[in-house]
Amino acid sequence: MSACERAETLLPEFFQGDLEAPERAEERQWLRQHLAACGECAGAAEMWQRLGGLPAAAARPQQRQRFEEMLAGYQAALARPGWWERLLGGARLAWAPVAAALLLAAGAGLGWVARGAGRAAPAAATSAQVAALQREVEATRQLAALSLLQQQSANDRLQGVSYSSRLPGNDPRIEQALLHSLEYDPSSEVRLAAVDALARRAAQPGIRSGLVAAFPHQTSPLVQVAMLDTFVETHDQNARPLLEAVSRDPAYNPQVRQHAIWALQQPGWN
Amino acid sequence: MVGTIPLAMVGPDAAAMDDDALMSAVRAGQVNLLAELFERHQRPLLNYFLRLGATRTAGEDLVQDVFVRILKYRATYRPGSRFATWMYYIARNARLDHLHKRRGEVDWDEAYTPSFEPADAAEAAQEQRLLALALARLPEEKREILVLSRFQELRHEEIGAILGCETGTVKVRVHRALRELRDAYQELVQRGEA
Ligand SMILES: [Zn+2]
Repeated sequence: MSACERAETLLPEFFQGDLEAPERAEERQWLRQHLAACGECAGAAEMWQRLGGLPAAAARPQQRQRFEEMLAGYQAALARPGWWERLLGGARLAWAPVAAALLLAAGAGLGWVARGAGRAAPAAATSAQVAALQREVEATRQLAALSLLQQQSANDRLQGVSYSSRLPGNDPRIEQALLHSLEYDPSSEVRLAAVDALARRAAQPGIRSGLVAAFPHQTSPLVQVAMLDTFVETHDQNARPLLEAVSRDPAYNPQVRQHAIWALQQPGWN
Repeated sequence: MVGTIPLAMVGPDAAAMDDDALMSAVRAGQVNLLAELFERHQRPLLNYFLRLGATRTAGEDLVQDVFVRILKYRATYRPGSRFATWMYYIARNARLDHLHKRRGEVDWDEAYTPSFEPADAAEAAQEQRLLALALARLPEEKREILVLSRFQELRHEEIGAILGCETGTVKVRVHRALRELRDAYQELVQRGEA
């Protein structure tokens, strides 16, 4: 190793403080001498020094709050005996309560506001007026869900998914938005919640084919397992070739493949 | 029950434990201790994403995603290893997933304008501005290796483990990246003074 190569290797350690250790005093001394004599390495050292001076952003308090909500949800879910092991082991999943506890705790607030507005109808109003009011509230809720699904922050999008999963009826815009979230959302939390919301609407053929189409693009084993459970629930014949392919494809996570094998063994496919 | 200790009870004991001891306990089921690891690492992690070009919102989402993944994959942590190496391995994958999912969308700035604001913009040295710009202009893999080495304070062998390459390769690549940064910086300085 040339002297300059040695210096280059030592520089990052020097700036991380590793050469401060007494047993490395000799190396530190050597580096100082080399830097005094070699312009090239002194230039590199100066660059390391400057880089270290770049300012760092501070974390916002919301980040801590969001983490704590997630951890509390996880601990609550963990307290349900055996759910985590069942998930990894490939047994039947009580998916909805797990997802609700794990992911959707933050979404509850909005639903209450909307329900409160629905109840605020005056007692004397005719049934037609109440119905009109309910439709209005419904439309507002749908708009709120759609706009939440398009937010920048994953937390807001999670709320949107949670919110839309409680909306009655089959609004195709909501369905499209949920399928879009499942396919493209960068956060696996949001994708997982979208699977849960879509599973509740899986009676519709459009949703079922959307789930099948979205499966190959999923990267998270957790999301894949949740989708496999939905296929088992619906016994969708169109999902069968996919399950067979997954069970054989070594590119998938072994637990996901095992889960696909288990899914194919469930009664009700024919 | 171990899993449901309130966060408030993550007390002075947790603060006295090193990262590896904390993560080993989280792995064994004391998931409340993850709060201490979050406290220690959320800021460097956020800055890791910001320096690699994330917007503030995307960076915060990714920090959360990393801690969700740490919980999900806690069984894969090897007690006795260095927590930061494992965490940045997860962080790197979370970021790549995010980039893959978000191709063509706006919240990841390919052109990278540094999104970390100096503490006092008025007093921010021109030097820092030019340096951030020079860093932003480096090709992705060079910027990444410098960020891991200089800001996340990872050793060459740890960076090798994260990137999946030999320690010797890391040394060479760090050096080349630094040289390219110097050249880009010098060029900006000269143009700025001209
Ligand atoms: Zn030299």
